[in-house]
Amino acid sequence: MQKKPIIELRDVWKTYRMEQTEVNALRGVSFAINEDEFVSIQGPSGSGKSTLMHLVGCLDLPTKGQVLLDGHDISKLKESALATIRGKRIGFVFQAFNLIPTLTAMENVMLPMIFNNVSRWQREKTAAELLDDMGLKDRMHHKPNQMSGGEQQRVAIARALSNDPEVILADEPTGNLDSNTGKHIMDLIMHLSTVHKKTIIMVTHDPYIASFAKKKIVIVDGEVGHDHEYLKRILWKNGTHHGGKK
Amino acid sequence: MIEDYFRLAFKGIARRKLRSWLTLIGIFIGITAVVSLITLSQAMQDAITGQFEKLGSNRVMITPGGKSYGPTAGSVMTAKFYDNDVDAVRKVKGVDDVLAPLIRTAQVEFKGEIKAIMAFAYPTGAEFIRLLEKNGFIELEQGRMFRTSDRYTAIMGYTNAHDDFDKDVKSGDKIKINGYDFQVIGIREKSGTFQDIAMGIPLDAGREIFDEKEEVSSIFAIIKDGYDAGKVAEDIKKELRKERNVEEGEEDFTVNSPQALLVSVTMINDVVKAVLIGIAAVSILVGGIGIMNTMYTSVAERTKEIGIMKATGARNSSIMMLFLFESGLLGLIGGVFGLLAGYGISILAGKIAMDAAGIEVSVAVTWGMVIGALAFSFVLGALSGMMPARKASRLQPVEALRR
Repeated sequence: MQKKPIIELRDVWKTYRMEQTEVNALRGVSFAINEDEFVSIQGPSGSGKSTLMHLVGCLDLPTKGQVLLDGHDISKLKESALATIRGKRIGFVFQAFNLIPTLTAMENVMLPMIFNNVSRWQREKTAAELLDDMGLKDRMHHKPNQMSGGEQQRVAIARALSNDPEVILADEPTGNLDSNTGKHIMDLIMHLSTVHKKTIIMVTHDPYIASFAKKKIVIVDGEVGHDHEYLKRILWKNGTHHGGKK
Repeated sequence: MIEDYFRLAFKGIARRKLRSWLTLIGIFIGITAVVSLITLSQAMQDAITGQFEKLGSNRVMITPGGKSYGPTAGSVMTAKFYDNDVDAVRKVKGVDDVLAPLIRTAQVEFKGEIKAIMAFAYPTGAEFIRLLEKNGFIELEQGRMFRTSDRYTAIMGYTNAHDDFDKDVKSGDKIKINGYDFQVIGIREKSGTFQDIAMGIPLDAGREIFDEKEEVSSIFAIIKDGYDAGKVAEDIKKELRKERNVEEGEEDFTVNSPQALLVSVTMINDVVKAVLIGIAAVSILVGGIGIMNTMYTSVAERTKEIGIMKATGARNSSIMMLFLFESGLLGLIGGVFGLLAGYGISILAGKIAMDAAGIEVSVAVTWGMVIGALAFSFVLGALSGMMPARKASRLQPVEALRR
């Protein structure tokens, strides 16, 4: 059965202007991510993968080209509409966890629901359930600095799930964790993919972590390739001649 | 939802306690000044109006010396009144009667304690006693009125009897006034006016103990029913000018009709008000700038958090609201403390006025004032935070997250 793409990029360019020079972070990137897919975006630092994640996450708009969400072009949307999409349809998991330090685990998980106008009663119920699922039942009223890195990342995953989004966008989710904890977080993410049927887009430079994904998008020098051979070729070429600079 | 924004805003303030407290000071001082100013001036206005109601609006008080008012206690004034002045006032059309006491500060000794008390020496002729009673100059809590035969007797004011000495003075007690033995024959009822802190003695006794043979300190003219006190006051002025042979505008006496007094007191009140409003305005301005500064710092410090919130679905308007609530809350907290301090100062000032002048200044806490001051301080805080909040709301999510 053919699944329909939930996110599609069509010839996307992103150009940054720095004083006199223009830097093309993305040069005509096109790909589609289907519903329920687990996709990794791989590439060396400076390859443009962060820029790509920002576009896919509706945090930024392309200079040229189209970013389609469910077939609708978001490139022309206003910030408030983008915010609503981020709040309802996309859950972010960051490398540095990015929890609000003054709020407890519970409050951090409830935050996106406040912005999404969920009732207080429903917020508390959902947040408690999610934290319980993450094995953090006894950590609900702890602040981030009272928790370990792995626990903080699990709070962040609970937060990403709070508005029950279709897409989870994870940016180096294990980057700040030791390998054991990282593996545990990856198991959770796999669980979201296989059991909860979330579309997972994960940015990483780590080939082991990337190997959890069913589909890989490799990005080098602002351009994209799908298969492993292409990656090898680009990386080899890059390593010897270009130094991976954008 | 508003409740949630308030809670988040409060957490924002609570995390930087010291800085928040410092920021509050400006608003605090401003609101303190405004609240104490408004309540005090209202209380003063009420007290003054009350004084006239109690003393009667059918009286005109004439004091020696130009441009001054209030009972002349000392002998500071160079101009003096004598019987001929009293007679001149008595002759004016519309004047029902005249009361001309000698007023001095006396040393009063009671059970070994010595206090300085203002003494009004009244004539104790039968006619005057009737006049005092008829016009309510003396209403007694205990004891009796003066009799024509009285000489070394005193009627004490309420405060004199109850507060001035360690032990309460009762009618029948012996006291010494300027070394002379006196008997207390009565205690005045509490009136909430300067009469509470003044005692009455017969004029003859006063002339003897103060060694003052002819002078009277001030003249109270009682206006007949149906006459306008202001108009009669003008006539008294004219008559006294003639009697004392002075030109208009160079009077060595002052005729205080209740209305004229009210006007001059109101004028002083207005000047005090203007000065306080100035202080309050400057302090509020500085307080507002302080809040703005704190909020700019807060936005800069929390750029990353703003990015996180935007990534999790916060719209620009949500961020704007969050920071506006935060600065509004800063203002509001300053306002709460300012309100408390303002009322505190007003009540204290009222007490001081009561002790010093015997004037009852009752400070009223009104809902209008409380709500007005709190709303004002919240709005002030929110307005001061407008520009920082706008800056926060307009941060690009990607830029903010990069911090």
